[in-house]
Amino acid sequence: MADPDVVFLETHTRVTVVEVARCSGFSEEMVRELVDYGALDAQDDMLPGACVGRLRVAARLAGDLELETPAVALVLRYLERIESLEDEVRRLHAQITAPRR
Amino acid sequence: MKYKDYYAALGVKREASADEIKKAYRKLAQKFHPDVTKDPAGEEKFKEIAEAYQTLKDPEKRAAYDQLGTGFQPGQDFRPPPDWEQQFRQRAGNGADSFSFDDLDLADLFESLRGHARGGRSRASSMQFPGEDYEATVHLRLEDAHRGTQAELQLDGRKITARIPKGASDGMRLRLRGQGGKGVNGGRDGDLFLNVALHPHPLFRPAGHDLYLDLPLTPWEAALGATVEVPTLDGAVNLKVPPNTTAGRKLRLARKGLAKAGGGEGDLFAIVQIVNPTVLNERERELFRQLAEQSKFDPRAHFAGEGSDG
Repeated sequence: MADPDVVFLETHTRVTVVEVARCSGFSEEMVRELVDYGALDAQDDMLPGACVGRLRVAARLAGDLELETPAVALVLRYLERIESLEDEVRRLHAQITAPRR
Repeated sequence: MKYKDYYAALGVKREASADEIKKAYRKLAQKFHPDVTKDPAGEEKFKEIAEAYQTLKDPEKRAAYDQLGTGFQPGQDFRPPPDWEQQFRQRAGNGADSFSFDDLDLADLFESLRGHARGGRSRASSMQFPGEDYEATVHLRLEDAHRGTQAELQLDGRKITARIPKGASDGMRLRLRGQGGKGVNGGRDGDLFLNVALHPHPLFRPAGHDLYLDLPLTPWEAALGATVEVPTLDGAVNLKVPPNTTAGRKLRLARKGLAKAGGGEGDLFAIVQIVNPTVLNERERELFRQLAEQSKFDPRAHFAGEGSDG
């Protein structure tokens, strides 16, 4: 039933650095550099799947806006922050009860 | 072929320096980049800017573009000078018979100029190239995310059916390996990346894999306690409302939320609303009157001493 070729890119999904690089459009070297910057949290050469989407956005921005590595690292941090704020907004919205007529 | 005014796209003069062109591009690109702006028109605008910059930043391509002169209106159909067609035909080599400017758009023209001039990808190459990765947003109903579904997508004019296993939630991303563009010369196929967006549901509001539901109760159900039927994505269940339940209280129905990919489910939270009847018959009115006389309850007790009069 489970299809190994369809993967949810969630925080608890672990993806190798090599695979993350391939998915993101960054080189493996660049991904490792971003780990060194502290913008990505690698453990045993694995990264959380949730970072793939952010890296894809960052790679597009890096290419189109000609960004240097420190700027890319900053973009990643902000994207992560935006995502967690969006999650929080979603939860708060979900708790607003609709008025009954 | 349609003429495009690349200088106007970047808002610079024809004699602008390379540095001015770069500055103009960076400024506009930051504003209109589709990953930055929420403006739906941003993507189209960014494409124009990027196309203009691709040509104008390269001295060789810019010189070729400048040769076209200034005699065209944007969008006007035009043919490049006759000697160009000949030059391109020669460069294209094999298959040149089918080469025609009619099939090209302006961006392709300058792209091919670069490719041939710098020994880029040639037609006869047998080098392997991976297929392109695709990225798209898929809109799902809550029920479909919960059970898993098939979604039809239009990508580059191609229709793709993507199988979405159960476990999606709002804002989540999926990778479908090998479902992007086809690889060239045996290169691997690209992937399809999907961003999940859930349609609003009339009853359930999602947050991650948890769901929130308004649970209207009568004043007497809230006061006396009751067992009420509550809808879930897998059918109705009975929920025990304890006596003295207050409005706003969240009653948790464990594992009645959205299914998770790795197994398990989120929770369903029923948020209590206390709803009084809008139309009362005489008997009901009398009962409320009796309650009003009997009750010492003051829901505004905490107002005392907090008013502006001190």
